[in-house]
Amino acid sequence: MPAVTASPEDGSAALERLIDSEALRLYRIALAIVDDRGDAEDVVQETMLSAWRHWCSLRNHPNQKAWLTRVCVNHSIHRRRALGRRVLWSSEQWLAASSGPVNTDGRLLDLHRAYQSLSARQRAMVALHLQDGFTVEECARFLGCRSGTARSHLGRAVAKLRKEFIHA
Amino acid sequence: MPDPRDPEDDEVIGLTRVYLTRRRGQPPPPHLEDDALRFALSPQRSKRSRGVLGGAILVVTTVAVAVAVVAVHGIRPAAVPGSTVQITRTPGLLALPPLEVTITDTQEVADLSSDIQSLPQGHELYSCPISWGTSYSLTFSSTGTPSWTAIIPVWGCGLVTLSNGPERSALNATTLWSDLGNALGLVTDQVEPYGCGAQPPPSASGTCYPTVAISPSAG
Repeated sequence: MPAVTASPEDGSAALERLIDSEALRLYRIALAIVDDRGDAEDVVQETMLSAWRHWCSLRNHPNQKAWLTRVCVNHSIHRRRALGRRVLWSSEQWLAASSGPVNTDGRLLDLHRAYQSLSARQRAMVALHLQDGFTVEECARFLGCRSGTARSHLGRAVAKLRKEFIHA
Repeated sequence: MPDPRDPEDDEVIGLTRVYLTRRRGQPPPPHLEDDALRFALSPQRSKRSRGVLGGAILVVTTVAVAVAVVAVHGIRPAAVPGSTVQITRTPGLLALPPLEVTITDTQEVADLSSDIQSLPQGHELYSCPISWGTSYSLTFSSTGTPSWTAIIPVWGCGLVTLSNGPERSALNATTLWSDLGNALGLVTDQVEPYGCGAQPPPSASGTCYPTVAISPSAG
């Protein structure tokens, strides 16, 4: 397998364009998984560092968006696991930072608490499938697992949300 | 496993979407793009340095534990050729048929084991062929000896991950790919598949595979 000889310095302008177009999307995916804005920002930075380190292969990649999403999801899962079950964002903080009007019936607060109980991979499936609209098959490729496994993560996530939500 | 599209879950799914939409509406960090670019291009990354230092400590600790285990139990850390090898292919972004094969031919298993163990030690590269995330997982098993696994990426930087040793490089490992192709009954284009549209194509031969499309609703 011959190595491409171009240097990584060739593409800093292109990397800047890529960051401008993708950073916010990746940040939102990371935030949904790691649940902390500082950590989500770190994940975006690590993702872009990976992009730069693999720039010679990424620059001509037919699907840069999928490549970045996969790397971002992996970084996010690793970071979420490193954080353990620590609740980073209290319900009050979440509501205070939320852009919409405060939900008076408390259902979103209940859901926020239920969301804390999801594992890193379950959060990834919820974020990618329900938030970003990727198909289960696409999510499976991002997570590096089979479609059946991804479907299982999603099913368990929804079941856990329902259970926690009902018992809240 | 409950079906996520079961009607009784519709309320939870709908509310989850509202919840996630509310989260999306929160303003991102003010200098997200600038900070990401600076971090990627900067030669001095404090967080990365700490990570590397932590990684070095982890490696030293792991080696020390391995040496202690070998000293106590007299186990050779090098892999023993197994009597079977289970091979699974992860398609990555390529539209490839599923592949999961168990090889029981002793000679083929020994050849593959030897090919992998004789690969040179890998190191990080900046300039690599394009990668579609496709990889092979080879799990060697034999009665009475611990099993071990090698994950071999197709194209990309070719860094092979071993369950029982340091990373190795599969760049230019023609013997390994030849033996793997023979074991699987695949020709070169099939054992080292690449996506259509790559410029330049990583292989001189003509066959390529379509890549998986991403939903337009994404992002």
